[in-house]
Amino acid sequence: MALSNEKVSKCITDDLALSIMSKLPLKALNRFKCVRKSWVPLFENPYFMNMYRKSLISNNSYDNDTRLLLKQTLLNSEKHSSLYLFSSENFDNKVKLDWPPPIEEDDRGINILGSGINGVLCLYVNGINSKLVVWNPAIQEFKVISPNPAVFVPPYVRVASQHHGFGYDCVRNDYKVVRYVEFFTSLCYFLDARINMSASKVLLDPIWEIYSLKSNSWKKLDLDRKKIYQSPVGVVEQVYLNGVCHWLGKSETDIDNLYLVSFDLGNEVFLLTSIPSIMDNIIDFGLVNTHLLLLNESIALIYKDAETTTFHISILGEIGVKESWAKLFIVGPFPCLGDPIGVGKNGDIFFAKEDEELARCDLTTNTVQELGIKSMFFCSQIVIYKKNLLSIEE
Amino acid sequence: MAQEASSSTSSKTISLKTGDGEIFEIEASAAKQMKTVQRLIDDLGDDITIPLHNVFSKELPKIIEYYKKDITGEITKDFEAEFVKDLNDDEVKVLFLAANYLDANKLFEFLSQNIADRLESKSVEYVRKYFGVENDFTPEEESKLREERAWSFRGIKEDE
Repeated sequence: MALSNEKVSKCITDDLALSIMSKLPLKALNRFKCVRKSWVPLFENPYFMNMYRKSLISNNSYDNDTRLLLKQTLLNSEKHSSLYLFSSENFDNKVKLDWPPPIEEDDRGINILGSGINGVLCLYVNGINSKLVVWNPAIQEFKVISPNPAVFVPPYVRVASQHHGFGYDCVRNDYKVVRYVEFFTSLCYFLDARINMSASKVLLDPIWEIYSLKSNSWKKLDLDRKKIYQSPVGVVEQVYLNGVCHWLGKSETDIDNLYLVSFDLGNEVFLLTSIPSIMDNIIDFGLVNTHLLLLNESIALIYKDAETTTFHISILGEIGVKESWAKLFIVGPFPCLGDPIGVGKNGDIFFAKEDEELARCDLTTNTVQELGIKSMFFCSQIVIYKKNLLSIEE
Repeated sequence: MAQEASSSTSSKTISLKTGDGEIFEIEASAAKQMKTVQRLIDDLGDDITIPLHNVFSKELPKIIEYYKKDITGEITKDFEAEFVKDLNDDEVKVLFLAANYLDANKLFEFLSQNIADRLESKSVEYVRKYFGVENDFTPEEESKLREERAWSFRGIKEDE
């Protein structure tokens, strides 16, 4: 590392340049591969990739006040869903939080929509008596959101909503919820159930709606029917980043493709990003093995290869650009791990295991740590949360 | 090897002499954070002025200022933002190289991130000049490469 005196102030050696490059976002890194020949295959350089992964994982603004919330669902007990706040990464000290009214512990299927935003959570319960609440647990302030859609619904029509996004509109300083609403007739005019279903769908088209906390009302979004992209699964995996809500979706009219759907809360516009077929041209339409996560400040897809039980994680370089997905991590084989249920403060990913317990996967060491916490498959969530003493309304 | 320096009290100062002959004082606990300096102290003793051939009087005071804050645990995001606010890209580069020479890890990591932030929206030519790198592509190779990753050039101002 000896540099001659005159050159020191002008010359950065390659390894120093690479340590700077390892801290760049994907878009810039990709562009700077054109700087010189030896940088073109940077993604195949294990030394560089280790630096890049380390930098990605440690690059966050989480401080000691940022905690983890666990929503634990145990359907075989009376108290179906419980919420715990953890103060340390070891899950030793936990504080049980009471759900805000009208949500009750024996409600089936309580879910946190997305993550904590400025210390505010959005909770929902699906079903016949659906509930939707925006809540700041630190000051025990909550606001119940009326589930009634913006359009007129005749009394014999049932409403089924699928919540796709909870986020903060930075332009209007307002919390928003985005959902997809379908309508079904509840009367049986026909003996054949299938005819009933077709008939009911003809009555009222599904709509997309956005709720504004400030105006306390739902508003129908004007969308081209062809461009409706909803999640194919019941409970939507959603991430929020910088004023945009993201989820994975497909359209009835575009059945061959799966997309990352990004909804900008400020200008109320949808953007689509194609998802590359991660393994062998398989497209996971049922979203059985593909999950959406937020890895620090990056949108990430995690795909489980069932055969090898390895997990492949790709990061998105730019919204709307299919070529900008970059596969950065392959961890495993971990045959015991099931679905991811959340991301921690150090880029560690939490999983529900096949034996209905929770585990944490460290991406840098490629190891799994058991947490000794029980969970029903699919049902638990771990969410990053930092308490905020400001009122929701501010 | 003289061992007294390692257990010196925080009031003990070390003298550092820059490549252009100026002398600066630094507290021993701050000197510990710069591994190159600490190694020299271990070899030469802490009563001698430590020579730093590759660091100059323009940048050493700034580095000392950073580590003064570090030993009192006062380094915050705001302090770091203020620290680099009035520096241009070349000045940060000089500091970065000095931090590397001094093996001052915390400052090195902070400055690498700061340089990365500054380079994020720059052109390929700017980065080449900044790192002192020659373009070893033929024009055809380069334009093919740029086409292949056209999305990463969108919205970036190119300086020809």
